[in-house]
Amino acid sequence: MSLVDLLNQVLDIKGVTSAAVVSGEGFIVEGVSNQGIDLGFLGGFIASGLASSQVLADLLGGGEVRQAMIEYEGGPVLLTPLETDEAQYVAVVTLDSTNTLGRARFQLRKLLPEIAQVVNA
Amino acid sequence: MTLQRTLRPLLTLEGLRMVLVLTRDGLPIEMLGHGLRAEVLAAEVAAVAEAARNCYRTLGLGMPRHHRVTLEEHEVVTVALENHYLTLVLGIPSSPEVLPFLYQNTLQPLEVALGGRS
Repeated sequence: MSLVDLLNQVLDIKGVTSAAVVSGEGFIVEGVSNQGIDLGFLGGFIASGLASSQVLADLLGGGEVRQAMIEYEGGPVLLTPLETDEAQYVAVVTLDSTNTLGRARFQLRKLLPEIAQVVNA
Repeated sequence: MTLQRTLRPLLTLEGLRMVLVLTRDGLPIEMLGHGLRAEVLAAEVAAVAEAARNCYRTLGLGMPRHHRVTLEEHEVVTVALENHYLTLVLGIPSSPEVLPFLYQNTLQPLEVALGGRS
């Protein structure tokens, strides 16, 4: 199954409005959206936001970043580092509301390992 | 009401390790708890928050209300105030009641204590 196929499966989760895989440097590897959301914004956040989150992790002695979530007025954005062999990749998912956050997280837990596997291949 | 007194009820939250109030540009102005370097924590929290703010225009989802970074052993929750950020460092698993508690009990008196909106 291709990365686009898997991202489309993420997009099928209730409440998800876009899904992408972004490299640690901020380049979009692949992205899908059903509301015309411009995924170009992701690069800046991944590069600076996740780097600072990792510094937070080092500061707290708490290991790696598992997930970052930003709640905007229009819905939350989930950023989950993928377990890949070498370069860092992050799965980014936007949702329409926090009401669907729990269900989306649950279903993402099943899909993210498959996405990481395809990114690794 | 002093900042310290406004923040003190947060100490009842399960798993809470530290509370920090900082300016938007990353300067710590009040802290409860210890064992962490407030200046470094404030600078990094502000950097994460600023990155989230910078995304909002393109994303078209409005301004960021709060963000939550989940680490292996801690969770860092940051809420945007009018001119400041409030950050909580919690142990994992953190209570799901944290954000409702903040919004119901803390944010309004904190804004008043900081001289912002009432």
